[in-house]
Amino acid sequence: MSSSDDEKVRALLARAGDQAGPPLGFTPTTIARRGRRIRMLRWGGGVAGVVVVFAGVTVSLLLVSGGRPVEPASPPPPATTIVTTTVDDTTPTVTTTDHGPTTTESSTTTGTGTTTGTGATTTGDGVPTQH
Amino acid sequence: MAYSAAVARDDDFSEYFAARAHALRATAYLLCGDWHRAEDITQVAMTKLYLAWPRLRQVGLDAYARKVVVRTFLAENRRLWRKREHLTHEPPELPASFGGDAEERLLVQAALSSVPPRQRAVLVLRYWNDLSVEETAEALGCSTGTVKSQAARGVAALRRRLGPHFDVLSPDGR
Repeated sequence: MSSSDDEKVRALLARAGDQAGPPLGFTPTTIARRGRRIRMLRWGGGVAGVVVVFAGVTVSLLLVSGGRPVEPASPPPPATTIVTTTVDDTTPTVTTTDHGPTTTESSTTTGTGTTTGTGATTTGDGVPTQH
Repeated sequence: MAYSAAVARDDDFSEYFAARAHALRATAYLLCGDWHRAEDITQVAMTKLYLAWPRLRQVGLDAYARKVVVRTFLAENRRLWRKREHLTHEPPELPASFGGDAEERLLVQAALSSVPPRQRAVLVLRYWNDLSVEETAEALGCSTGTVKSQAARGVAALRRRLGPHFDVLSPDGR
């Protein structure tokens, strides 16, 4: 592009742009008023943003630290077997112990009907039985 | 203290407004070819300038204002591209003679409107605002090579559109 072209374009634009045009529809006062309003809105938006962020952080901290920690589940203790033995008093059980041919009558009769003897064992009716 | 600083700032802004508002609107008018739209663009630019005033002060006020005008124009163009009337390749209805300034202005304005927006922005910044290639590149946010190529294409489009009147309307041809 030559410099003469530059000059031609410059002259063309000067021709098109050198117009008075209609009067301006705004004044510095209106611009300043609008600018102040925008500045206030930005300030309010910034404050609101900070408040929202602060509230969010606070709530999340409360949720994290305020809740009771969950303990790990422990396995149940092993089951204990309870054996209940009922002893019938009406039926005496006789246990005899054999110690040889001695027939010494030294038996002891307990309440349950068990007789412990050193030589002889008696049956329920007290008759000694010799083994 | 703060109140007096705000008043002083408003006074400075009013002074700048009185000195530069019309020139900015003329730039916007050359870009968009419509006084009402030019006024809207200038208003947006002035509002942004007011908001940025404390940090701009006397450093690059004009450059900042021009940048806002051009970028607002380009951004609006991108947004409104569907609503705009479609340009054609047909030559404009040229007047039979160039009797009056108004006709010449209309002719040049119509030719300028047919140039693509980005090339038009380069032409206006380079030849109406007399910015250097570097300053134009800074205002548009592009490289100097792009500015040069866009300027060459813009001038070619303008010449194509005006045809023989490109030379007739220029100072050499009159």
